[in-house]
Amino acid sequence: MSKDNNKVKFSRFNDFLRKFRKQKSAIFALVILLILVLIAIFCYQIAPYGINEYDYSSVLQGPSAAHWFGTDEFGRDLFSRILCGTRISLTVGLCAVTVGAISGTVLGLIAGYYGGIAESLIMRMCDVLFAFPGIILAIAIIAILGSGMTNVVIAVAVFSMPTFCRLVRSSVLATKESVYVQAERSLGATDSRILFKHILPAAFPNIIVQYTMSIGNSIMTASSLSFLGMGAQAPTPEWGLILSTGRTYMVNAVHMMLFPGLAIFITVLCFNLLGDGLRDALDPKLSD
Amino acid sequence: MVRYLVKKILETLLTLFIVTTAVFFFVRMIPGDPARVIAGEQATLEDVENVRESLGLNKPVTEQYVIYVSGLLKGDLGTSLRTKRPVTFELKNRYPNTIKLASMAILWSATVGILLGVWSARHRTKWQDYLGMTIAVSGISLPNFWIGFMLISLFSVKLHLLPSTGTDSFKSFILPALTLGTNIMAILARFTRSSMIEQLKEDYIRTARSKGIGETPVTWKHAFRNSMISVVTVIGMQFGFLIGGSVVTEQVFAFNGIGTLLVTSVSFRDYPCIQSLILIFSLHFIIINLIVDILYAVLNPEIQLS
Amino acid sequence: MKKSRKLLAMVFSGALLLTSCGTSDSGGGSSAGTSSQDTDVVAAVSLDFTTMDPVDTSDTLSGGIQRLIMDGMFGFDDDMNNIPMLATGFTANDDATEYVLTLREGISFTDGTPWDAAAAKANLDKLADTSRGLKRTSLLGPIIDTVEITGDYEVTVKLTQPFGAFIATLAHPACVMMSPKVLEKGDAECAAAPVGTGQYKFVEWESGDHLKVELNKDWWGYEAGLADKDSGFKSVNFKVVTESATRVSMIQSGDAQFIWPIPTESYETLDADSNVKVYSDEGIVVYYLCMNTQKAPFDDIRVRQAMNYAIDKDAYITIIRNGLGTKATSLIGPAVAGYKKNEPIEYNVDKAKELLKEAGYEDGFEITQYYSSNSANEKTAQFMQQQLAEVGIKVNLVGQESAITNALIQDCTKPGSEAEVDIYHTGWSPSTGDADWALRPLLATEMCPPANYNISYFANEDYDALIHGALETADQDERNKLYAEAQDIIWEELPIVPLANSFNTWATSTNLENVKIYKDGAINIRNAKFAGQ
Repeated sequence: MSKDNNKVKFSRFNDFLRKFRKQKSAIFALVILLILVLIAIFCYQIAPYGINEYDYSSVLQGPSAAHWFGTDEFGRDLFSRILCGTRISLTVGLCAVTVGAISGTVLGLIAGYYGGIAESLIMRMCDVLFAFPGIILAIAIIAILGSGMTNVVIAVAVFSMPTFCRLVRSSVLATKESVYVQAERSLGATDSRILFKHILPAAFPNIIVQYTMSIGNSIMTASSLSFLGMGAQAPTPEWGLILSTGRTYMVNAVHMMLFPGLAIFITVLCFNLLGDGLRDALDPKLSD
Repeated sequence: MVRYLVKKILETLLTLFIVTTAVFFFVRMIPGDPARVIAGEQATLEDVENVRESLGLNKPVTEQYVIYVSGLLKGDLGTSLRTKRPVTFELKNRYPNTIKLASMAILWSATVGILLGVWSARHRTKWQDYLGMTIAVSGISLPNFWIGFMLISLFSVKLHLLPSTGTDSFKSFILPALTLGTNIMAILARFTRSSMIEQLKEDYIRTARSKGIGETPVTWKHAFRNSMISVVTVIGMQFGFLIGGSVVTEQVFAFNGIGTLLVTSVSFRDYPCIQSLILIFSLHFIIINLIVDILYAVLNPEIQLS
Repeated sequence: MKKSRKLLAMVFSGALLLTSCGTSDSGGGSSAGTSSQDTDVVAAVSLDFTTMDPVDTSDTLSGGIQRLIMDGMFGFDDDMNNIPMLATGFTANDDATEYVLTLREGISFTDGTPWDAAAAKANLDKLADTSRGLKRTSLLGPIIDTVEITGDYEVTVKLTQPFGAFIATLAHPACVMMSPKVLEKGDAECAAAPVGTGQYKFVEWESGDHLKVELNKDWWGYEAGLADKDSGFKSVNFKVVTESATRVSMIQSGDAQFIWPIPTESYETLDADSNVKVYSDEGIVVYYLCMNTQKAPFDDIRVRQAMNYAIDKDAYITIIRNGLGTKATSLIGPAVAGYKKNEPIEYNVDKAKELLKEAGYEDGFEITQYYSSNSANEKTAQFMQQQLAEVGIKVNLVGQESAITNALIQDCTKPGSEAEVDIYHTGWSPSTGDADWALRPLLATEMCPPANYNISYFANEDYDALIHGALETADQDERNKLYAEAQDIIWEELPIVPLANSFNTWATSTNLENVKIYKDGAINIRNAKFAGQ
């Protein structure tokens, strides 16, 4: 299809930018995400109250001017806690998916490029991992490793890994036999040159789309785990954990569930919108 | 073709065997002692030892494995450590409950998802498309447990319209099925839309249009029919996912299904129950994947070459 | 989930008085037409049942349901006083090693098997048989030597050692009597389909969903004056509803006629609902904080005193118990036989800091608190963290699944000085209603983990001597005296921070009366019925 030279690459990138600019909702999502990143960095500076500042005389108060999102079961300010929770959720999502994407990509490259026993082994392992629905796999891993955010990252990474692995492998299989790779090989190019100069760049658009989408998914899974009591340790202001505590007060303090839920929703939504936009801009099939 | 099928089935059996074995040893790696949990927090050391012996947990692990696998081959899933009743007895009512829940969820989400997807595709880049896709992307971004609680607090606590728990009437399935199906609905809407857009760009659609066939028959009789196969495949795969995804939803509604049983079994370290449940969850996944693979092979003979 | 009770509502204490007077054949509304005994009711409970074999039961919920189906030789009245049930009395020798039990005559199990000495022996033999791997054989297994039939309605039990708490132990929910016919069929049958002499008959149990019992109109207790002749319901369906909010909405919508416990957060909501009556009553569970007395810094009495001053019990009751509790005055509740009151230690941050300074911890110290994660424990742990931070003690919280926490705390084989536990929050229910089954397992030296629940690793020879001395006599006055001294030692040495007496809470529809919770947290519907019928 395309030749490997800088000019083509550059025009491909320009083409992508042109298309991406048309994705209004994706750009909107990107802006929100940037704001969220800023919140995550400066949360402790902008939060009006300390996250562990309790006040037994005003517990479970609804939203007010003093407490925008109301207070929790110890009279702590929910708005401050949710602000600071941004850092946790974003970190968990990014770390887990990055680990999953890198390991999945490496395994996918090996499986697709070298084939043979390595491929059988890796793909069988993916099959086994795929045989468990995501949340169940995560529950199993957490059960063995114990709860806590580090283990949540590992669990989420493990279950996002096989998707990347399969994705990269099929992309490798498609590119490996292409004319220009064959040509390079006949000219005596090394494996690593072929892998990193040709095959990986070809798989890259798919990886980036999957990466963006997976972050949203991971944030959701991580908070589900906290909800099931297998994630963050109290009093960490993790959104899923706040929500899980809130269910006890559902009858008389709905705000305890409403706001952390909204926070998760908005964050995941933005990652998904961004992923959609990237895919539409990168996928030639969907262009007009 | 036959060789391909045999190979696929053998691979599936191998995966199943690995899953069974892995799960058996993994559950025993989970820290925590079932004998202690079952004996109770106030039990003496002696109680714990008595319980361990009566549960057969004092035997070597390899012996326990042989007992488990030979039981499995005879269709015996073992006895629950927690209730001391056969695992099959524990599953007798819960499994149909979960299947019923998953079926109701897939039914509404497939209907709504497909309609939404087709509608969006037909009105591509118009407001209908944006609305449809906003609903869809919201649907995949909503945490299941949150939707569940919001539905409960609205329909059960505030309005007293629908029960928030139970399995005895159709009404009690409505909220959990709505919750469980939301994500799938969104996934299907997006998938249907993109698949329809691809189809609508094909030459045969242009031909059909040029022949003066109306937009509605073009959409449904031609484009949709050709998208059907892949849409149905996705529905099938989502069904396997749903049964696993029901863990969280069941927990929210205190629903008496296999998802709730899994969470309880994990906290009791009820090895036979955990093993059987994970086997069931993965069995659905594996079998559906096998069917999908076979379907693909039948529909697209080229795939055998790769 | 162990909660307890004390009469709060004036209305309710009135209702209670009425029934306790009217135990004879008042039978007021038992005219024709619909009576309470022709009506089915639904109850919502918070946990699943574990088993129906009393000898294998360690949870209050299952034990409570079993007590509806089966009676013990001894049992409790509404205030948890020991009363004779299937036995009519006993005699013991002086050193409490031999008991002769006289059995009530003319009673049958609901399968027709007569209740007699042979049935009693079959049950006691099962309770004594530690080889079966049933959890509760540890109660009497090491104690009972032989059981002899010494008359049609008399058994003589010889013990291996003096055991003054024998009759109290026979009132433990694990010691209810099951039909010998079921016993013969084996433990699996006992766990699945119990048959007793009780007010209700077992109908069915669908694990995780519901358990149903129906009225036994021929119950001997109606004749014996244990209950009003018109009390009881045609059937009771106990539905398992783990989600608190759901349980609350069920009683509000009328889908259930009674629920227990009330999630503390929803107590006020239900109180304000005119279709619902809420009750609370002091129970026998005492909540307290263990401190590992063999490990620094808690090996220093001044630090333990400081901890007692540093924790605000009033705030604990308000925030953690939602106002439903009273300050603990002992390690056992006032309703337990052998209880002695001591004054709660007042909250005083300055004094706590001063004591810490004296002990050389002016800058505080850092400890770890383990807990089994659930929302209630998580809240309590955070509360402790907040309270102790005020005096400079940094608490690191580690919430894990109960299987892991229990293994770490209770199965710890290391000596106290090396054990992981620093502090641990818990509550204990002495299900026998007797001081022994709290003071001994919780603080006697030989009960340090892994043997039992002395998580404070308290080792005090004087204390041990008093506790064991009280077991060597069947004379209740003598026992009370020894237990009182033991409770004073606890107050001097402070191996624990006593926090609060628990309350049992429950809610019923307005037209139900006499639904109660025993002090040990188990359901008591002996006299329950629909009001005005």
